[in-house]
Amino acid sequence: MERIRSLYLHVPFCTWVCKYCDFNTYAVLEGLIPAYTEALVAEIRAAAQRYPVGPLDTIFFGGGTPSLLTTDQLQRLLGAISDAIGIAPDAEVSLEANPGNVTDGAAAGWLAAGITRLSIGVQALHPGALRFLERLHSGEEALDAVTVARRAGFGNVNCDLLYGIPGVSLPEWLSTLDRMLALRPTHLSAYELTVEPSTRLHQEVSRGEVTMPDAEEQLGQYWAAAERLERGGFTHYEISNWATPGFECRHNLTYWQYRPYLGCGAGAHSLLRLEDGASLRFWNRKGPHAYIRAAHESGDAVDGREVLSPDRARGEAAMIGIRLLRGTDAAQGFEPERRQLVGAGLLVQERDRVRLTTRGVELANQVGATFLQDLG
Amino acid sequence: MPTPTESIRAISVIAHVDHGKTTLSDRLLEYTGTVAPRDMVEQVLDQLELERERGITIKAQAVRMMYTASDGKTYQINLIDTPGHVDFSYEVSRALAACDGAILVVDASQGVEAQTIANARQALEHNLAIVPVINKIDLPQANPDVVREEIEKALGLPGDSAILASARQGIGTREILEAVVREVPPPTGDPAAPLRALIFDAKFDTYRGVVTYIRVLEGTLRPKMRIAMMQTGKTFEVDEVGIFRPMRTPIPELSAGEVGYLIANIRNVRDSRVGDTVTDAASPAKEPLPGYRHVTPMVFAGLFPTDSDQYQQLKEALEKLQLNDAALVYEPETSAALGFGFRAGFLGLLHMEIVQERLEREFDISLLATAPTVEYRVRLRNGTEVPVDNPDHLPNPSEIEAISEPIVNATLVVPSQYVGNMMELSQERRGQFITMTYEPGDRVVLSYRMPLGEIIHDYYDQLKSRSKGYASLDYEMVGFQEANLVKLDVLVGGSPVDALSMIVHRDKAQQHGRRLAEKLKTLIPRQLFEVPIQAAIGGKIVARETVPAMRKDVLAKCYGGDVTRKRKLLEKQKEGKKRMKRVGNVEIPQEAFMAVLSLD
Repeated sequence: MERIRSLYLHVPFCTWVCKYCDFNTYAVLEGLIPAYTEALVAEIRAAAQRYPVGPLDTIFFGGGTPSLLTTDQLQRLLGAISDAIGIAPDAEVSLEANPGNVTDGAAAGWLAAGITRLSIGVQALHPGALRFLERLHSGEEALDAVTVARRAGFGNVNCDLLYGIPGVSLPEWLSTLDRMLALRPTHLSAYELTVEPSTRLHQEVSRGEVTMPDAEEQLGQYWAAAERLERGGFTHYEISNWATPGFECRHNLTYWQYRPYLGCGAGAHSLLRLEDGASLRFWNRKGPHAYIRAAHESGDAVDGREVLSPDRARGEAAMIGIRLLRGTDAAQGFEPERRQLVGAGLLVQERDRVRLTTRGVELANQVGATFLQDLG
Repeated sequence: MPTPTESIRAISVIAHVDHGKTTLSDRLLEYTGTVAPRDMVEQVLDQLELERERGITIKAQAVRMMYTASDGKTYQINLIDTPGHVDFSYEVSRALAACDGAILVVDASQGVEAQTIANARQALEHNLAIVPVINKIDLPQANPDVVREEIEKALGLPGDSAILASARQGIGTREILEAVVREVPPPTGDPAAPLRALIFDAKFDTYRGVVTYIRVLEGTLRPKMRIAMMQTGKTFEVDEVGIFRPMRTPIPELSAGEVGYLIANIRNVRDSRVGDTVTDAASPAKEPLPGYRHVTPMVFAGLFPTDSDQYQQLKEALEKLQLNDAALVYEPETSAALGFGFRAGFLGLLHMEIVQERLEREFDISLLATAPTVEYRVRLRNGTEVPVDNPDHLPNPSEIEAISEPIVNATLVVPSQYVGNMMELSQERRGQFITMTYEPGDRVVLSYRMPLGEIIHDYYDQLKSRSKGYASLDYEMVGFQEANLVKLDVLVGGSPVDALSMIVHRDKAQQHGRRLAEKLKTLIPRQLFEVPIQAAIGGKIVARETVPAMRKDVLAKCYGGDVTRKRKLLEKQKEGKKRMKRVGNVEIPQEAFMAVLSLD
């Protein structure tokens, strides 16, 4: 089994769950955080015994809102990880933070605890957009958060942004990007606002209260952003991700390169890679209460698992791999599929790898699906 | 102990669909103790799973009941259940020919409907004694007085004597049985005469071969006899004779007047045709019983496996279905668009749907059926005439002298407020008005001469929707008639799709082409490239639509926690595509091949 070098920790708590969000997160359960932290510690210790894991190259605190953890809680977790699993000296340790939580004191504490990369959930800067998204911060606060992180000494800062927000014009979106670029983050993620099932946004759209921009407008904003960011010195390395040289997110590359990872916390997924090419994936109980109980009892909160045959695993690897815009070698062996997609103008072949064309990016699902095995 | 001939009765229950025929039959079985209430599966007579689900009877059944009447005598009542749909009207007519009387069930709130009239007429043609029953009198909307009047005026039957019943509640069951004993005459056949038995149904049993349902009209039938089928000339040795109670029960003999079955190692229902006469091979009757008709299919459609790997399975499934369904015919067909499959002929649309459902459900075949068509007769310039049951096989227009299409007489019964709608619809469908009569209960009976091809295209659904569900329809084939017909071709992505071709009247061809192209545009999903859809008559494009290319299909996020979900999403997307048919490089979903059915 391939040794695991990446660890994801899920923090399923938010002060407010925004209407477009379909992540596994819960408002008004913040009181659970101390117990939850201990449950994570228990799961980490048990996992270290069970799987071939560490020393870790990447750690990612995601959510939810991990910046709701106190410095002490973060220290406790990173201490447990270091003791039980081991952390490589140059590891990338990311923390997702809401702008409102990024104060000078907090930032200093995070740095001291061992966080090396801050990912700030800016999402938007225009007041109308922030109100639409139900974000609790202003544009200025978001910009301040980046400045504070920089000042505190974070050399690696990402900002998450959303485009395709109803009511936000292309010029407004581009001005958002310009103001972000002026703060010199090292990494930017720009996601199309997607209407996910079982969100309040979905309800509003299906009731006709909200009209989403059409595909043309969304792609217009997308490609305009790509151009603006590339001119700003960023490389477009994944469908929704841009980085300055040397600052691609190493943790997320683990997913896209289909390397194994361990996920701890409520609803977290893990992927193990077996020698024969098969994959084993398992995931934890989603609810924080159920997770805490299970993790405390046995250190194991697994709720479900799937085994992917070597063939299916290869298809999945190719499906994810093509998201990397410099290309992937994961589609090797899919000879007829590759030829068909190159013929359709969705892929280009470059030595041993294929990469998406512009049209291929716009239709990446069509490309990805081609590599998947037919269902029984 | 055999029942004396004068105590035998043979009856059918006839009714418009949903008027409670089957429930009433169940009550009769229960009341006579033929089936104990605790063994009573709801609707005992409808055996096929599909029948039970759809609440309709497809194949006739026959049960013997013993009933001790108020005169103290015990009667043998043979109940022959008839199919309740116009597709199976020939089977109805044979079942009636095997009876001496009929219970005519009319719904107390719905009143007389098209099939009530058609069934009653048939029963009268067979000289059956009719016992009218007004059913569902327990329902609040019941209006028995109006229905009595309708029975009187529309059917010419004594409405006063109609028995008020509620099969659901068991009201009137005894009265019905008494009326049957009193009104229906006993059989008159001579048990000693040469054997003549009428086949009114046949079923294939995996272990015993064909079980032939018969009524012995003259003579006596016993095991070990060598019998001959008078139409097909084939002979068989009888293994077993028996009756249904309601399960098969062997008995030593069936004699004149009795209803039952015979088993004679017959391997195919084709050798035991409904309407044929069974006689004694050693001393045959001089004449067969009248009324035999070779059943011919009226509606044709292509049946293709969605997955070409299932061709062999489809072939075997059709063979098996045919063992039990003499009306189903098929032959191999190759479509450029759909690959290898079969052209199948059916009695009507319901029959077609039933066969399709059985293929999918009982044989687990994922099926693609093309739009149904009728059989045209094409007279060629060289003087020959060819039947065409596949629009794509229509000869080159330059070789055609004339095309004839099948014509039916359609009877519609509808509340008077919808008469205008019905006339408009029938006219749109090239119907020729024949008569209109007003009946009691605010009902109108309309007669039209119409091309069958127009009826099978959505006419019934339109009829129902334009009459708020009130109109009912019955029709019978009357012959062929020349018409100005042309072939409409469809091209998708520049390639002709043979399975979408249709034969239409020239006056309607352009409009049809336009509607079909519009409809296909909504049914064919966006592809990676733009897809033109064209309709053409004889090479001339009459309509064009375009399915624009797919603009965007990309997920914003894919991280470690949602790979499974996203993979499943894409797998489903791919699975959907797999169910489509690839024509050229265009993926066409199954619904598109049925699009011609609902162009209005």
